[in-house]
Amino acid sequence: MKKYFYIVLIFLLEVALAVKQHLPDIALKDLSNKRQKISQYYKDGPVLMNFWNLACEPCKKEMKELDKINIKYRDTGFDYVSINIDSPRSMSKVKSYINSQKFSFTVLSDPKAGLFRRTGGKVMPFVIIADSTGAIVSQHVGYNPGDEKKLEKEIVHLLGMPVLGDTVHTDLEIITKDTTSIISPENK
Amino acid sequence: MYIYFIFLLSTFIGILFSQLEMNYSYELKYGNGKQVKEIDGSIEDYSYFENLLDINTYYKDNIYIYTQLEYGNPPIYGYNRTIIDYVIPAFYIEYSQEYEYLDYYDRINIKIGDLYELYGRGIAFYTLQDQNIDYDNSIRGLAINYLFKDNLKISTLFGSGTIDFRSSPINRLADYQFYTNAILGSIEYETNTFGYIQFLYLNQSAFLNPDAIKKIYNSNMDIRMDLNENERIPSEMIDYMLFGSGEGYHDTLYINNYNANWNFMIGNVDIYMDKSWLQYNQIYGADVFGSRFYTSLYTELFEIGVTYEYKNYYTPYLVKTMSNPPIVYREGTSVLGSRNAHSINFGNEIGHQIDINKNLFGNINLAANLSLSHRHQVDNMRSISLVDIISMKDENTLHYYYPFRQFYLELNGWNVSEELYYKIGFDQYIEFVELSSSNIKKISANTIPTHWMWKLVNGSSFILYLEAQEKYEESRSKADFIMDAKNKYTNYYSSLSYSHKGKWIVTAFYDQEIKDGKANHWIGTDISYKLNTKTQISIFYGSQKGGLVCANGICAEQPGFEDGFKVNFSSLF
Repeated sequence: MKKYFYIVLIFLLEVALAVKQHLPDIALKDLSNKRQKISQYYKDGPVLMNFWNLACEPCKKEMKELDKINIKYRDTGFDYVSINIDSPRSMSKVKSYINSQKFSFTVLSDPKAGLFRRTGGKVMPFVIIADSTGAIVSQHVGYNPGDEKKLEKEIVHLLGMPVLGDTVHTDLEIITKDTTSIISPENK
Repeated sequence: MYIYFIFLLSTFIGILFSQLEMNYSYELKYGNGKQVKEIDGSIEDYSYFENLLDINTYYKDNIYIYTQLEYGNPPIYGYNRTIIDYVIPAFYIEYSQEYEYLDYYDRINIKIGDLYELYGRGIAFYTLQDQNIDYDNSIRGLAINYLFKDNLKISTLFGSGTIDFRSSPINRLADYQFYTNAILGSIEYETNTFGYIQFLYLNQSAFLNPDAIKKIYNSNMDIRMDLNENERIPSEMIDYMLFGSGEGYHDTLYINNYNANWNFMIGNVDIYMDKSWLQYNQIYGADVFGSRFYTSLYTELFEIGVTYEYKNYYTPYLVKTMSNPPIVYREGTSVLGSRNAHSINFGNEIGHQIDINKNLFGNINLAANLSLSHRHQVDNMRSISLVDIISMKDENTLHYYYPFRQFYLELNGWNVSEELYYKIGFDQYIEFVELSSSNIKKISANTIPTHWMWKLVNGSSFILYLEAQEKYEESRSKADFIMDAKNKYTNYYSSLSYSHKGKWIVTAFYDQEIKDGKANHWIGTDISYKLNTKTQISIFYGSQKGGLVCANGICAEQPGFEDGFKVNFSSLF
């Protein structure tokens, strides 16, 4: 019996290490109960998804920072989608919390944590970044203040923008979907 | 030679199945120290070694295989899992297929293995696993769902399994179990006008062996009272339950559960209603009828998010197995606040909860919660109103209802150019619980939890938790409400962390309890290091106070930890 167990384990480990993970093209419901296809969020550029529930206090702090990133880069093709994995019985409180915060991003509900597990999630806060093909390029577990800077660097890299020192991007830079050029204070 | 063959074979299969996607999550928990026993205060060695590996396997978007492997020798809770036959606590295969048409879609979903399913809000059927409290009420079987034209869903489920229970939360191991099987059928329909409606029927049988009945009889569970007072129980069984001598009998309970739930909108009010009618039999007894009702309302008034929930559960003599109804109270998130956990009675409880969220001036959030509950009126108990529970004034009468009231208020937000995060709360808790057949215990506590975080410009930060609590425990006679003992506890908790650019974090903990002028304290330190974005290791040295860990109204007592070290390692790959 042990032999078969090790065979299966080796096989599974190998497949995991060999294959790059992709976002599945499934549909989740938003807080208005409308089905939204996951692929629509990465068709124009990279997507960042964070998985959270109401009991996760670090997730809430992280979402506030991610909201700022979303406002900064949403016109560049980048999208940020927040995935709530509370069960349907907490949905009223989820709506209440989200509405009170006036966030700029879309919130989808993954009540059976199917997408969470599919993307490798086990504990929260959990963030994934996928490129415009849906390939998952990075996963982040946990949140400490300052982590948002690393996430921003990754997004900027995927958008093909130059990283300017430690601060990756200033508010004065203007980027449109149609052009890859960046007009920053330095090259204006 | 053999291992090379295995490697080559697996490589070949890996190439063949290149459309497979997999991910893993591994967690190691190791602890070596001492434990203070709750019963007599004696100290004994305490160690654990737990390894958890979750494997998620996908083939395209249609097939999903979940496997959980656990090696525990011993785990924090539960049985040792050291031999190959016991290291897979959870496994299932799921097949899904969606058929998209022009303006609607159909979908089929089939699941075989350990079934973790939620129907409605869980008052009829909700099976889940929670490692933190060693809880798993899943059954092994088959579940099929078919969705027609986007709005009509037909579901069925059947399976069987053994569900483990603890007769007391302080037990590290589950000490009795039920063997149960179930058949479920459900139909759901959704329209734009009437919202979403579901009808469900669950037929269940639960087999109780003599040992399980004995554990129930000697526990604090409510159905124990029924067994105690019941003259229908054979005298040999009483001898067996009391003294372990004589003959024990088994019994099979049959449960029929008819459930309807409805979710709809009136204006901007989101309303949900869920009702279960249950017909079941008592242990060694006749048929009983019970019911569960749950409703929730959510709306926004003047930009204030308001959620109201109500529960009315009355299923005397029934042991909750495959259901997990909503608890309708707030589970604490602060260290000291969460040590006061309401002991919900899923078989006899009425409760209300109102929860409010409001954003003030853009950067301050206000959260408030009021939770109330009490038992049903029986026999010659004097009638009470909701105002009596809110005021908790006439305790002499109220205590027969085992009332519970918790009020929580919180302000949180960012300040000083969004570099300072603060959270200040106030938690007031009062509850009456059964202490013994002749005594009740009144617990009252006021807690002030605070949380502070200061962000530095280089991405580092300081995090501080400061909490204070004053708590009273009174033992009173049930008959005349005369107090025979009273204890006062003053608790302080603090922890200070420094996070260096999110890469490594060092934390110092201090926990103090003052009882009758005598102070006990627990001091510890922890260092965590992020090896990469998906892998973290942390080492703790010192002592930690034990206490209840609760989720969904189910609690387990985490043992206190004295003078030892713990290692936690977690990784995704």
